[in-house]
Amino acid sequence: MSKRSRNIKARKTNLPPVKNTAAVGGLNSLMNSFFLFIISLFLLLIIISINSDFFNGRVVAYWDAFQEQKSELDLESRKIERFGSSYAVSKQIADFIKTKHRSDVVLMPSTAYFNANGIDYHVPEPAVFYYFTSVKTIWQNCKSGCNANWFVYANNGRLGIDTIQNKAVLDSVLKVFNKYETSL
Amino acid sequence: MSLLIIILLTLSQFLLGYALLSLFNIVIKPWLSIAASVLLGIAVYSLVPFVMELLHIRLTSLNIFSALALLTVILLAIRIKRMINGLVFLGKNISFRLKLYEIPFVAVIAFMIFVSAWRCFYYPPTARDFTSGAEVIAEYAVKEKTMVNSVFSVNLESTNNQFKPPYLTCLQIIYKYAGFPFGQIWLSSIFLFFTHCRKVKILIFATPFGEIPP
Repeated sequence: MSKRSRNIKARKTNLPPVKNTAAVGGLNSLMNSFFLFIISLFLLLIIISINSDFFNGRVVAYWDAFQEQKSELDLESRKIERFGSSYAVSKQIADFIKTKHRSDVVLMPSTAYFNANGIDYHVPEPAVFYYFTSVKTIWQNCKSGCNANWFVYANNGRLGIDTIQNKAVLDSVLKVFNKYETSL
Repeated sequence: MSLLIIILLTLSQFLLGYALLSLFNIVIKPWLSIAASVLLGIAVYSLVPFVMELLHIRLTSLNIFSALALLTVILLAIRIKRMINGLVFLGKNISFRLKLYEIPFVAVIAFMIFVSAWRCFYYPPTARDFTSGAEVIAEYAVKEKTMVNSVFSVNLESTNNQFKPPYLTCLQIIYKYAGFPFGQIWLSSIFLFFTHCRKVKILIFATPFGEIPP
């Protein structure tokens, strides 16, 4: 209600006119801010409830995870938590290869091969495998010549690693591996 | 300690960016100039190791941070008077007023930024584009002190990510040398200062769908 209309109304009802002092202005401003604060709280609740899946799955869950993570700062455990079995199994393979103290290349079958043989292992591509382990690998469908010294295979649900001694071994290994498609 | 390093890096990026703004005599609003300076600083950071590589300078931590410091000093010195005047003007005119009704939104946004930054710090990058390109090159650049490293002797038939521009690789190298084993914290700096350039209302609606890594 404007000042003029308030004065007219006050004259009609024989009440003294409202004086627009600084105190009244300050009080109005404070009331307005508080009113807007309440509105903003409601608006925030509405936005959060509309995006509740995101908020619970990404923000609240991550805050809960933070409570545990802040005391667990070991690099290896952070990598295993993030990359899962892909990292852990790759490290096991690499640890074995590194004990041989040779600069070797490992022939890796596809993820589909391992899954078909009961092993839950997503095979990282050579660049990622190198990032994880510092060991060089190639896939079975390599176009630039398979110069591998080792190959990894599945044996009754377990991983096996063996050497490639000659071209005949390589061909027989590739014949088995190439039955399965490679995927990233 | 990590927090202190982030603050120092951000400060040096601000100085570098502000020196560039002064050099080109770009006058913008105080808060906007802070955000733009940090973003510019990060952009210049992302070029330095690459230029050093082109000049066949070894990418050791000493060389990289010396080059960054030298570049900052040179850029500051070119227009030193204009820059000091600008900083004084910035100091006098900058103000931070938060209205009561803005507090709930700012608090929620700050909380989300914190969660996002923590995950950038805590976890290694997972995106395949990154791990088979910029990240693996940066990792071995730190180990072998050159961006032309043993990664390129690996069979790279399955990817072309090694051919992507080297900006992210450079940032990863700098942040790994600064003590962050997984780099990535620059992402939070860019996010924070980029969103600062935008209106808050865009931030409110854009943030939930865009930033926090899975």
